[in-house]
Amino acid sequence: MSHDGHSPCSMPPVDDEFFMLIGRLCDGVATHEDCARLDQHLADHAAVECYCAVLELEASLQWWWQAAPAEHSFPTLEEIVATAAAVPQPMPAAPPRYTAWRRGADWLAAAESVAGRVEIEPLRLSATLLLAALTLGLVAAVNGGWGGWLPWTAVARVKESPRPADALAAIRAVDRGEWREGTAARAASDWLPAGTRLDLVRGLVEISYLTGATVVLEGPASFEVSGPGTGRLERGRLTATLHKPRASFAIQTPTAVVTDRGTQFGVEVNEHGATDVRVFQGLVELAAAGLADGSPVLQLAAGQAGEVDTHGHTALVAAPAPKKFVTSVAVAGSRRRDPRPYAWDDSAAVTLLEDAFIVAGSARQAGALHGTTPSGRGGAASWIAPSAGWQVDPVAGGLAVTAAGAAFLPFRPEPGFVYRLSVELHVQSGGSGWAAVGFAERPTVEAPTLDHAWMLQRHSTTLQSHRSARIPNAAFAGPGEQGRLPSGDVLTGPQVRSVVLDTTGPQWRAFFLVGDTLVGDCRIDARGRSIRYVGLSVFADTTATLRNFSLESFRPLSP
Amino acid sequence: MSEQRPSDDFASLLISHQRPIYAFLVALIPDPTERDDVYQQTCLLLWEKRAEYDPARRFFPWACGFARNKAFEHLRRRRREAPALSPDTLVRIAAAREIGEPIAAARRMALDACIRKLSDQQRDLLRQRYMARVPLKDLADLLETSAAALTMRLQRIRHALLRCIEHAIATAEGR
Repeated sequence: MSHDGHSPCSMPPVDDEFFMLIGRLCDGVATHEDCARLDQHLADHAAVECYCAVLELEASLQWWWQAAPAEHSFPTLEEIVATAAAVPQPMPAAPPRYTAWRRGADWLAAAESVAGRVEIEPLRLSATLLLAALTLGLVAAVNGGWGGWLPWTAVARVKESPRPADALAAIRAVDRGEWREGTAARAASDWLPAGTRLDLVRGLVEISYLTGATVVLEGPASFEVSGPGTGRLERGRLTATLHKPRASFAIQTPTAVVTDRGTQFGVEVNEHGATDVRVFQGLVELAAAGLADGSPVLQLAAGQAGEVDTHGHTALVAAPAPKKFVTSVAVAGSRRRDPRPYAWDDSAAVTLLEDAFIVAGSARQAGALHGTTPSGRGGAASWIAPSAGWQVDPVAGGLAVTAAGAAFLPFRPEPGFVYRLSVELHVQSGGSGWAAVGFAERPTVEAPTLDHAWMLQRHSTTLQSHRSARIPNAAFAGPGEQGRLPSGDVLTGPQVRSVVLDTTGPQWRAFFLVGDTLVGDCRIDARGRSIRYVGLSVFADTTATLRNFSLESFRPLSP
Repeated sequence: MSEQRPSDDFASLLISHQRPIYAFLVALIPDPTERDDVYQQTCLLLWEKRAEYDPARRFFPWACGFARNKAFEHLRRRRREAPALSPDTLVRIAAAREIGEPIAAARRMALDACIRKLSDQQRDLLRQRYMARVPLKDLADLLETSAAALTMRLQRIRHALLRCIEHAIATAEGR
């Protein structure tokens, strides 16, 4: 595809109909006739070039917007929906009251006690870890967080003031910051519109971009928030971290463009404008500013360093001198907010289904689960379960599962609620199989691989992280699944697993918890509206004991 | 990085090419959910085939071969269920997309600035369409317009972005 001076879409036979047909294809509304007509257009090479350019744009838009924060930071759509969806929302049960409820987060408190700076040396990731991040689309997990909610966490801390429409970032923290005379002094919680310039004489400033990147600026430095996914460093030093998968973030300097692909890197610009780049995690592209000089684009991997001199020459630095880059700024004094991107009124919980898997005191007979009614709440609902291998222990209680299969109770979510599905799960043996809890469209054993929000745990501690493309909405959270649990958390013995289904927005979401710890989240696609069951699944060679199955509903917090 | 193992080198190559590979698949599979599946399958396959990769060869064309096969395999199945372009057309698109990666990379770099030049309303519409992934028909209902009218609005924005991107590239090249 040459680029010989004309737009690929400026020449015949490209016309309005051609664009319309591509648009219909991109929007998923093309008919067989549309495709046949498009086939005719695409017999011409110029049309193929234009098609590729338009589809490339389509991909870029998806990457660009997927790099944007969750709906919480952009109220526009919610406002539209709130206006448009002026229909009464059905309720499973009347909530007693709505209160602003926040659950304590011990790990955050612990984090606050950490010293003010974290300094790191460049490090190398193993190829396996990099691949895991790549195949899962979880580069953020490599960075030590969970893509999709860490950026929200950062932004949530500066939500005390209303966000201006043109804000692209916010100052998360300032440590002993001193600003150049004659320039605006900035403080934590300040929103930063496009074009905001920060002239720091000394100290540290941490900036959170709405698109999911964090920049720690070390004074003396001059920095400009130049775009939703870009910043310009005129001089000084910074560390940039990109938390979100598939996102992109670029730092421009007088001599270079450093493009981040889900990584952590440091940039230093000296007084002459020369740029020095160090990659701590992942990979970045380093290019001379401007495209005209023909300098190569350097791909820098973890542990590597590159530079662009004042003449625009790029080079790999074979033996970079040691440097310290600051990667975070501690927030002193204030208690941080609950970082979770969902919240409900816990006092208004309504238990819809409840089964402790006990015999004593319930109408259940000992033996097979299939056909029995829950020992707690459940009305007339009865379990759809295998006839063998899923037994309620008459003495110790609990559901002992020794054969692959799945068990379901009927349930249909209503829009406008938060549901929490929980079970105490003790995976006792097994390798590549799993024990799981989640929501299903059909009561089949394949539900965790086909349906909606499922949380799965393996017994093996040696399996590499793996999530099949067939399981877009499942979150493995077992010890074999790297990056899904806070470091140091060892899954031994029974653990409460919860899947929170949030149907309050136009985009349904699911959140996965081990105990009270959020370990992941995902979006639920349109098929989520077809959920008809909640259930349990045990697959392959796994054996497990399950207790205290429950499904609760909550009203979301009032605004 | 002279101590790097071959698998490290391959992982770096794979990661540095993830977006071009994804973009290659976009030209073949417009549906984002289906494309994500094929993309993940492609990455896993590439990793399995890493021992067969000859570092003397360019990585992107080698990877595109596997991506193309995965995409065609998927499209063969899908063609029975939903409208799709013909196999001949897809072969032409794959060939053009494979050799067109350098200019595609330049287009991606220019996109940020071009999105900023859109009006607030245009950006809001893109945000709803691409970030929230609201299906077109649902979005049309929300905005109290028809799907056809919304398609036209989106089409005008795409057109404007294309023009802006081409202009940015031409400017950067000093023409």
